[in-house]
Amino acid sequence: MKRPLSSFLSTRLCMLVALTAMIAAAHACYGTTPKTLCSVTDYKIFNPSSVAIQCGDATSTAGISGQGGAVYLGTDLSSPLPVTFTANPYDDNWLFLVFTPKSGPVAPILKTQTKYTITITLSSTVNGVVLSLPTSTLIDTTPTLTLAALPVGGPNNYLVSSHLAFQGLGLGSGKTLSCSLVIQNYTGTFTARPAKCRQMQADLAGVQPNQPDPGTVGTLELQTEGNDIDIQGIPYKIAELQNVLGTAMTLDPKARLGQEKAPATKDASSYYINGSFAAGRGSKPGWILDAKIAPPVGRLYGGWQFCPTALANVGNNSISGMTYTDTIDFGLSESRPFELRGNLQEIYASGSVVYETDKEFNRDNVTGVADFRYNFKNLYSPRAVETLRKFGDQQKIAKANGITLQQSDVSPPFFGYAFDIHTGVEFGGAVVDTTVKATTGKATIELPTYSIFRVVPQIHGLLEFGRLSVDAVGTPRYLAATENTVVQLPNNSLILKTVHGWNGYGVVTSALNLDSVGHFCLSATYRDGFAPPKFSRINTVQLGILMKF
Amino acid sequence: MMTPSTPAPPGKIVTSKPTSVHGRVLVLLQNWAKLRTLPNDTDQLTVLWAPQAAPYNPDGAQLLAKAIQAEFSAPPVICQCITVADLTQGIKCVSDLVTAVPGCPQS
Repeated sequence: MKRPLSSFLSTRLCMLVALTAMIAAAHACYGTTPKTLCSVTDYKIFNPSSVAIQCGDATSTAGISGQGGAVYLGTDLSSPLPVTFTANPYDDNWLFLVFTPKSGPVAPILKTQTKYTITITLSSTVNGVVLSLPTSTLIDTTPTLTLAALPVGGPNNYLVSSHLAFQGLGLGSGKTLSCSLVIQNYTGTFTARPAKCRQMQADLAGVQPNQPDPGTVGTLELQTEGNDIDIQGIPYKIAELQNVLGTAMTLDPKARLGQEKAPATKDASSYYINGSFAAGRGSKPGWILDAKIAPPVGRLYGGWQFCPTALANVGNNSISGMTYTDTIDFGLSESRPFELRGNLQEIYASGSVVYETDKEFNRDNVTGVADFRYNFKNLYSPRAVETLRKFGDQQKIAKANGITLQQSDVSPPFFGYAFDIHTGVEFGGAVVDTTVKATTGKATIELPTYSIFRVVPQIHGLLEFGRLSVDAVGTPRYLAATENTVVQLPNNSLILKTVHGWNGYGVVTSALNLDSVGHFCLSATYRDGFAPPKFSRINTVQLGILMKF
Repeated sequence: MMTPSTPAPPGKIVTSKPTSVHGRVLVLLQNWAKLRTLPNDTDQLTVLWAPQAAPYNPDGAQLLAKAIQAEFSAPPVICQCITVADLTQGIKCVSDLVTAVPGCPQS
């Protein structure tokens, strides 16, 4: 029977489509097939018969296992040792390898100061298909320790780590114990310095108690004691520390104990004291103290950060080119951010108590301040932050192309901006009557006590155009309670005045960076309005050159 | 013959929730910075935080310190006080934080 042409073509077409689909599927399958199920990025030797290896390319090792692995001495793969091992999932992206002799009694497999190559075929079921792929890695049992600065716990804290699990020295107790850091000098002489050591090995959370987290195995916190000179030299070993293979451990010869660097600016400092003195024939000695103490203290409590503050800008007589405002503030503050959704993304709340006085202690203002800063969506985009965002985006693309991108490789945008709103209240009072003296002449006047209750809305904006930035803060302060102040007249007499209602105050600061990295900067500050506690009219422009190195 | 102080099993149940310090820190950072995927060890904390509408110092650092406290202060206590100062001075990238968590004071 003769088939019609259309039927013949239809059948051929279907076969062609099916063949194309099969080739495409095979190609897709080939293209997505991994070369290995575990690219080893780290390993921890738990004991002479077991090792955990980290599969850096996998987020989870669930479902991956292997049997019948081979072990070789060094990198010579011609003759395997009479040992085999199995691999099973251990945690997140780790596999746990257990070594057993092929025959004879069970004995420790791994020996100290030896390199081994291990190979195994790992299997896993992916989308119903069983994948079996070989994996190999080198493990080294040389008892070497690495040393790195630990970014918590103070400047003398270091992380000591090894591929080998530690033993003794308070392992498992979580306690800090006394230990000895042995330091070597240029002649080869060893000196033991007292130090504190704490084993950092932690258990995995929740699922199986008393199982060590591989990432913390073979890690120890070292805190040096004494001054910089005491610990100067080449760190050699921690006298009491042994590894799980029973040998002492020495530090990497390249390891060094670093020294902490000072913060670069006053703002970045928790403690800042700048004292200036000058004296000369025929003039009184002068001094100026500009000091700040504002460390965030301790841990958070309910998300609130406690911070005592002490600010002083005081002096005596005058030093050419240097001025002071004669204010001393002592305060205690608590602050906490609250995350929100929608257009209003965050409220940053802070409360503080401030005692304000001067060098003579003839002002005694105590105020409580509650302030809320509101951050809105899309309104926080300074050039520095926009550069970080740009870097984050470009880094992903660069990584996909095998390019290592650094932050300095990203050009900052030309335009930047930030805008936020504050609302707050200030309350308290001048707690005692004080005598105010005129800055020139002998006039004095009594400043009676008064109450303070101010409503303080504030608008803050920042605009950046390349090297030029303009920062403006507007504070239309409303005095709900009548306050007292003293005004000095042009003839240097003093009068008592009351202040009430709206008293606005604005500050506009512009800066122009003269070089691309901001070492030199021209700045201009314009102040206009009425600022507490004097509420005298201020209308000034200050020009300056700023140098930062 | 030396033996490990804490014997390890030949395998353990792998759950969807990470149990290692490293895995827990990555998930914590993903939630903190509202990321779609887990961050890499080399990512800088300031870069991860940059898309948010508030500055990293102190806002982001304080929220991160609070999240760390909530995650690692529960029994078994691993870490009680990585401070805002730590997060704005010493700890720069994800791996620094992974290292710092078991190294922070426990009481």
